[in-house]
Amino acid sequence: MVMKKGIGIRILESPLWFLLPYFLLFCVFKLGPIIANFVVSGYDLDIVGEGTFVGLKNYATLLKDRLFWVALKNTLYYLGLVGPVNVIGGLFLALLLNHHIRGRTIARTAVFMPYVIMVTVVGVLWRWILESRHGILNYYLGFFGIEPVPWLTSPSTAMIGIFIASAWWTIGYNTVIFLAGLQDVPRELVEAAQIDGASPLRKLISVILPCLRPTTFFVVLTTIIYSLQVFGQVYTMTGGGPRYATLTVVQYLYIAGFRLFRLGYSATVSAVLFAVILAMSLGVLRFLKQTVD
Amino acid sequence: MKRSIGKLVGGGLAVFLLLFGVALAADQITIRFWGGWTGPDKFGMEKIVSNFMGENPDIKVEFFTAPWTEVFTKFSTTFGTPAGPDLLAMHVSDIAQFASRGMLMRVEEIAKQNNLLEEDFPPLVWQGQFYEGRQYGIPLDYHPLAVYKNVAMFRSVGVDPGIAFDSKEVFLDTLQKLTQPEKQQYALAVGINHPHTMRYWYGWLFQQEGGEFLNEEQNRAAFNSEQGVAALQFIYDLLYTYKVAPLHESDIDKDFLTGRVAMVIEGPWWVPGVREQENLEVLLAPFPKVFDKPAVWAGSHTLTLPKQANQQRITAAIKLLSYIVNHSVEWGNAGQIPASLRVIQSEAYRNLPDYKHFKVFIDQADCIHFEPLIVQNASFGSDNQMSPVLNAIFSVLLGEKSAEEALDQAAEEVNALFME
Repeated sequence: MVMKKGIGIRILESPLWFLLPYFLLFCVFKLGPIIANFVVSGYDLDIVGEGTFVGLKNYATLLKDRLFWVALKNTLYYLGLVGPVNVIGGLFLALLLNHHIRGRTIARTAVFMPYVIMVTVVGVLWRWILESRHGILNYYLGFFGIEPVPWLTSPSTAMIGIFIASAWWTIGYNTVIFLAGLQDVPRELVEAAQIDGASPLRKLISVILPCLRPTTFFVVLTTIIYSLQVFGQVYTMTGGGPRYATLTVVQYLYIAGFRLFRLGYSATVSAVLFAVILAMSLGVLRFLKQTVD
Repeated sequence: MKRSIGKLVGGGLAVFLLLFGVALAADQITIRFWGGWTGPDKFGMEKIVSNFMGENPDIKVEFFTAPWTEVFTKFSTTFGTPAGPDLLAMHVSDIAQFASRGMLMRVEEIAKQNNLLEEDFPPLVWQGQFYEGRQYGIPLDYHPLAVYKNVAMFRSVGVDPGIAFDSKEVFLDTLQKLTQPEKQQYALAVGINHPHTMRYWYGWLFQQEGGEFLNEEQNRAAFNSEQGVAALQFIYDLLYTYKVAPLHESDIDKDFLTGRVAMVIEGPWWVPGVREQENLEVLLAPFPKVFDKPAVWAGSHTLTLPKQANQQRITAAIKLLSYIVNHSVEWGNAGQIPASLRVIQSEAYRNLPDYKHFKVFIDQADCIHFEPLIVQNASFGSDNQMSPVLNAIFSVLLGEKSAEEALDQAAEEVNALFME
């Protein structure tokens, strides 16, 4: 006869306890600040004093704030540049590095290596590379008869300069995730397609990509989130200029909060960015669910 | 027996030294001094602080330095806690931000008690320490702009490197002689994304009779005037009409150091950097006078005392403040112009190897113009990359807008800030 355990014992033996340390840290450092941020966004709060509750006034101000809309537009533009390149490029590199080619380990290391560099170093490095007069990129472009491009000093090219640096820095992360996903593609399916005479492109479209769907979902989602939160590269490479051309939402909320000390307004910008990220993430989730169905 | 006495004396001595050390440590007070210096001036200040601790073993100073924005972020988050600074350096243009929030101590009495008197500082620098009629800072230094000339490039085109720019004609004539487009060589660095561009405009704005940045009440833009437009149009003409400065210039300093431009307008902090360059002979001249009277943009580092309750630490911080101001020869050697007249008139300062360069900055003390010492300057000052004025100037230099149109729009945005 099996003795039934008491509810107390069952709670004590629950494997959920293993999640407790994570949840504690999550609540203190993530969930708590997110909730606090929404509360603060309802206040006119400075670095001193308790602030005044102003309800939705900060949100109303935000709607009329030209620079916020410029920052949001720039951030979405950045996402439009980095997103496809990092996802499609990451997949392409992963497929390439999944082949048994000579120097594969070195190539894998080389692709991932930039990701371990600190963002400030990346920013300074690429500021040198993209410098219009002395930069190495323009030097090499000169061999093809291309006139020096004012990468970071012209409003039309500055965001492209940030994008080039960011893609170089982060594409290795997506590549590694895709590489891991490729290891889980069932070999028998690939071999069966080969026996059936499928071309490499058909194999990719009909076998590999469907198997990579969960990985792709993860990569797309993280790329969207990190791109909408871009800050370090902008801060170190252009400071948001020239002429607001690279001003992003996080850069803007940083200036509002820590330069102008408008903490309530800064929290409002942050809350809106949170909502944008959440909406886009849910959109991606829904889209991918529909494609599965 | 002898050995036992020796052991006894040795042991006693060790115990005495230990107790003395403990007593000394117990009496020592630790204070925090924060500043935003990251260049050679950082090492200059470290040396002064170290000398201070050598002379005052009862005070330990924890000196922290990082870029200014980070220092102020840290200050704002630690204010009112025991982790905050006891002595805080800042620019005069930052005083209003913190004084208006009640974060700084008034220092009129402290200055008097420590013999830091008005007559010992250049009058305009001293006046910069006040916000709404109350004094919050003791000046450490001031830094107007000056022209750095590449002597070899001047000589190569037959222009005397010692030439003084005291009229628009002389300045333009020199610029045109120094420009050699076929060699991709230009006379002057202007920049396109540098805060200095606004500072050049600021100096040339104030060089004109009636040229003002704000109205007298300091609550409305006045820079979109005839004078403001003329100053900005002058910079535009340097790029597009006279073509004596490179377009889309991203690094004014590097362009000067690599011989792309013959002149750059920079602050005194750049002197130590230039000193280290091999095969580069440099001569300095005051900021070019191209309008009616001499005027130049300037900044100034000031020492402030954040409000706190610990009287012991306040006393120690005042002692350090006083020491730094009165012993700032080393600060001068690091590329800053000490504000104390006693220091810059001292023999030790005059014997500095770069004194002839520093003198060019000192001689401009009577025509310096600080940015408005008001809270809103944080939004439209040259330090803020998002400044509507700075961006208005960039838009003109990028050929996107006319000077008049750009300054009118900037004035509208600045006036909106005053309405908030």
